[in-house]
Amino acid sequence: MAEKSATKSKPVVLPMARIKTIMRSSAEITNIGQESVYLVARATELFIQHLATEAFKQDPETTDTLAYGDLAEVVNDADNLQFLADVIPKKIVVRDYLRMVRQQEEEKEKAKQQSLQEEREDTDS
Amino acid sequence: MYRPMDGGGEGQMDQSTDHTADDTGTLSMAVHLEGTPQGADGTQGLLTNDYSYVLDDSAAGASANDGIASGGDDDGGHKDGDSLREHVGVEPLQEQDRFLPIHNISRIMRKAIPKKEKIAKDAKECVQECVSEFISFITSEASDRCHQEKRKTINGEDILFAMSTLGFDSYVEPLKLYLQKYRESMKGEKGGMNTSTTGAGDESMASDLGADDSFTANIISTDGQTTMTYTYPTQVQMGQQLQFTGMSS
Repeated sequence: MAEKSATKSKPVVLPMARIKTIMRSSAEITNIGQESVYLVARATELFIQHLATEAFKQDPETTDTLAYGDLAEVVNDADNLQFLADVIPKKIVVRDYLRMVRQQEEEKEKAKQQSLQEEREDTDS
Repeated sequence: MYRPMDGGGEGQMDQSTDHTADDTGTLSMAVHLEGTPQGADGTQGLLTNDYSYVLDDSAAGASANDGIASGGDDDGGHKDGDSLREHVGVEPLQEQDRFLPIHNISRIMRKAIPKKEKIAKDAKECVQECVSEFISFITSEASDRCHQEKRKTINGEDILFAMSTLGFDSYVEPLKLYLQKYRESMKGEKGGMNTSTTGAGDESMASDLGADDSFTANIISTDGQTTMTYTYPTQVQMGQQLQFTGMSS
């Protein structure tokens, strides 16, 4: 019997045009096929769901709100989400940050001293 | 919007509209800046992907090289889609166009978690930025592959390949299903319904198909058997013709 089309998939929730704009600005390509925009839209949906589910798992039972920190944890743990490491760095308090900066500077100083020392030793010998 | 913290933050997310220097899109455009044409008042422009002349906001009144209207602040009356290119002439991408609408994103998120869970505003904004990053990431991987194979158009296969290369192979199977349904629904919209009594495996339908990118399903009934011939017209970009026949009784 004649069938016009198989089951139709539910409509895409995300704006295809906007997705296409973002795709265009991210790579040097002349053309983007319509299929690929559709696939990226679907993949993005899956990605959002994935992020939300994983973040929810991080959420302790005490709070009922999904927060930034949960997302940062997820990105930290997952291998395939390392590209987001710069986008969602973990938040730290100023105190800790300053301590980190001080530590880094001390290490730099030490390294500098060491290389100067080695130079002196070289010229002496 | 969030600016990636590179150690210069204060342990807090701060709102900023600065998206020029550390914007990946802008950086790749900046790479093309050899002998950048100067504007009428001596300002330097930025070349976009399609080499249209982009001016700074400060260069009011300077005209574009290739006729694309720019200059001045153009964020009123912003349109989606291709007409956006005319407005892209002002600055790399307006903030709202770099991201997908937060409402849609939060809807998808809420469906994925239990109903009583709330989502913090900064979490939503964060996902918004992650999503744009994700799209760029996939697209640039797919486009690399395209370049390697000397093709100019990104197609569905490139996207699927990029997914599996970048560690999202769990997405590939569901995406293939989506793609199949999508192709079928496109067929249903654009294709015609031809009935003829030719036997199974008839591939002569190819001549009926136009040069557009549509897929046509022809259902041929013979002797109580239903033969469905899916014929894919030659696509100029892909340069290949796929035909397969399925039979179901």
